[in-house]
Amino acid sequence: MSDMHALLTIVAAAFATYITRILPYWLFRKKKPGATFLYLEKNIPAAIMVVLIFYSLKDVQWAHTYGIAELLSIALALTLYLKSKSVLLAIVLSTLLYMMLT
Amino acid sequence: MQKDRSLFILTLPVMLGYIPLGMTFGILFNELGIHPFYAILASVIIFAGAGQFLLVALLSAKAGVIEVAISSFLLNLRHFFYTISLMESLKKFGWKKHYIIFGLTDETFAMLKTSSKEDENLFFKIALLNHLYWIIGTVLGLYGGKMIDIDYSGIEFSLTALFVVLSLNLYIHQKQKEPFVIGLAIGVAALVFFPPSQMLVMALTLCVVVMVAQMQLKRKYE
Repeated sequence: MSDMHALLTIVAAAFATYITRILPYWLFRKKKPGATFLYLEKNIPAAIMVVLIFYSLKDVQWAHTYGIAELLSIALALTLYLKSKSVLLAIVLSTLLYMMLT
Repeated sequence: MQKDRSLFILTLPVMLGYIPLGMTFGILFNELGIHPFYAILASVIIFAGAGQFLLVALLSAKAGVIEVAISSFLLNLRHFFYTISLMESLKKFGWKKHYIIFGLTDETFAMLKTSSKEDENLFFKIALLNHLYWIIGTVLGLYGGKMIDIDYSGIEFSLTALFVVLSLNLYIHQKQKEPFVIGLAIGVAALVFFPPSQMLVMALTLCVVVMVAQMQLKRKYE
């Protein structure tokens, strides 16, 4: 991983992230967004977020471990968040569990 | 001085979230073997929690720059809604609005939206403080993580945990549940059928296509 590649990657991510925040300001300064547009940009993130869960699991060796550590830790994260409403608590404790299990 | 103290207290919950989360990002970034400067740079110019965690995963997978741009854009699309939601206030502001827009993370948005006053300087300071907490957290994670020499293997699970929790959070607060089903179906299919190196772009593209199709169908039959 060259430094230049890392730099380009970070700049690309910064640019893409900023675009998501400034684009509506450019597009809708003068007029209001349509209902279909609002529906799309309101709902696509949810689908993306769920897909990303699976993306983050792409290197799991399902055949070897059956993903038990992952599934248990995910279950813990879900339970903790439902009970405490704390994003941080859910992430920290479930990650600790995962680190202990692996 | 009194005002600054109350500002600190106001943003305390965000600080309590951003410092540990920033630290996790710093520790995660250390695993990559890239110079810590780039992690700090990322926290300064990107300023996105989930976005930066995804960045670590993409850097680890040696993803191409285009893939990073597209994935980051799609992941952060929900911030689109934040800007739209604050549009009325933003239109009235001066040059500081550009920094405020830059700093529209989930937590900053929540803070601004529930603020009693629509003051440009207040919003600016809130965004700035949140940004500083995030950067400080990153630095602490980068250097603190290196000093405390324990086995951090498995810490990349925090990425999965973050997405799981954020998805659940969205699920609870959103009326439309179909996107979650679509995401679930595509996610499972992608994990099973798509080659790991292309998985993200293919899955995200499929999401967009399916959601547009679904929306067209809904419009037709309503």
